[in-house]
Amino acid sequence: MPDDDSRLLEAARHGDESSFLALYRHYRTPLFRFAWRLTGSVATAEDVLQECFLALIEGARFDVDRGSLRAYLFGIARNLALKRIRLAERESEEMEDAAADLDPLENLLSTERSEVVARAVQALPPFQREALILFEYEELSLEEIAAIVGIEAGAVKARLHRARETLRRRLAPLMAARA
Amino acid sequence: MKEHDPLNSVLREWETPELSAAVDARVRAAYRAAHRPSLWRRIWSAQVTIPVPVLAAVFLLLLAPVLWLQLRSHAPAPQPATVTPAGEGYMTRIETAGFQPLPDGATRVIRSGGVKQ
Repeated sequence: MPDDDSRLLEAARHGDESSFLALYRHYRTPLFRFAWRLTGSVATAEDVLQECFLALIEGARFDVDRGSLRAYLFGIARNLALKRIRLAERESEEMEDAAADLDPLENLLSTERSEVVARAVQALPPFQREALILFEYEELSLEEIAAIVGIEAGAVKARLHRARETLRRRLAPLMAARA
Repeated sequence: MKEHDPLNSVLREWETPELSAAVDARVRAAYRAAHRPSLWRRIWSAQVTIPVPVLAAVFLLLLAPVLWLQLRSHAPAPQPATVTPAGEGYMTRIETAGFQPLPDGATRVIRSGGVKQ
């Protein structure tokens, strides 16, 4: 697939629309999902998706020897999403404080379980949240996430561990209800 | 990290919305706008469909003047009139080039052996 991706990208950059659409169809859903889970907004995630592909086509530097196109696209989407998050949200400490007010059991009674999980994940600090989303939902490897985020794989693993521990605590009532 | 952890099945309950088709159209339009071919390239790759009878008529119209000029240059030149007498052995040729009739039709008789002024 990486060879195919390189070939398709080269053709798309030279104006071959079918190659562009092949790449787009292959990556649109995971990138949209990732951006939506990071930002919590459909409109923002759609904008991120569009800008991500335009950045790719309009000459963003991609070197096949330095990683897969998938990781590269997730990296662009991450940067675009984080830029919007910084504009829209306050600092992560405040978000964590807000998360302390979450009562999963209460939410369980009034909202769907999906919404409870979404709120719990979105209440994580941004760096933990993106690591968790990429690992758990997009099934990227620790090395791929490290390349996207620009840190060591060990640091990614530590962020994942902290995120999971926080979620385990917050979602304990939900997990007990399932058991 | 992932095996047999009840947290994983709870995390899977987070559903994502569907991506709307309008986004696909937007992305495609943005790509086309970014890769709009140049005017020369569009002219060079433009195609026109012509029905065969129209093409044949245009071809004949273009060919007609050439054929006409060709036929005209090979037409035979006018030959001077010739008189062939009944007898054999000689031929008299009469050329009418430069012939002019007498202006008043008056005749003069000239006797042999002398010219009268």
